[in-house]
Amino acid sequence: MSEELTARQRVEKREQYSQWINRSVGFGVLSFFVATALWMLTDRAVVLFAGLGLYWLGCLGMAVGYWQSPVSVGDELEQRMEREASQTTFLFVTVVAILGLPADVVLSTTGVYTAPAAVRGALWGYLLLILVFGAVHWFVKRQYE
Amino acid sequence: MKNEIDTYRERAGLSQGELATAVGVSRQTINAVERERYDPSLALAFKLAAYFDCRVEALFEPDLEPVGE
Repeated sequence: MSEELTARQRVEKREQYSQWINRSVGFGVLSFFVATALWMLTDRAVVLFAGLGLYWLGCLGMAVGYWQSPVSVGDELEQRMEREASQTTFLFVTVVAILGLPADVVLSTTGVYTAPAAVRGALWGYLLLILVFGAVHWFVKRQYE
Repeated sequence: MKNEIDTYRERAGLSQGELATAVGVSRQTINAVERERYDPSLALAFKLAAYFDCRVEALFEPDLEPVGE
């Protein structure tokens, strides 16, 4: 379908779907905050659940926007910026995990220092993220072979 | 990569936004290309060349390393 669009239509579609995605996310987040505020006033759990439902609805709207858009929602410069930001983030995660995990194991095993549960959870979460990356990278690599 | 996009664009009497719309990208992308902060994809380079009715080599001057042994 994207091949049939003119350059102008591509820009218009991109703007149209970006707007839909932003509004969906905005609606979801705002609904959740409003529901939380109402819950504080009313102390009724159903209000919180309603807020959560609306938040998920907003997330669903965002996903639908990405799936249904006939063009990539970000143009090539935006994709490049996302890629660079992702690479930097992943570098941070990798360095922290590589240095931090062995240190955590050694320090906690010897009883010298036990990091707070949140920090240990983050470190092991980073390791899981690296493993997920490895699996996805393997999958993507197969498509180029 | 050096390029002559701004020269061709101004000669055609276009704003960055108008050129961006004509080739299907954002104004920020054209701005980044003109300021030589972003090298466009091959597809965009060819679109720009087609739009200005010239060869890609007329628009872009790559900093190539010597090829060969």
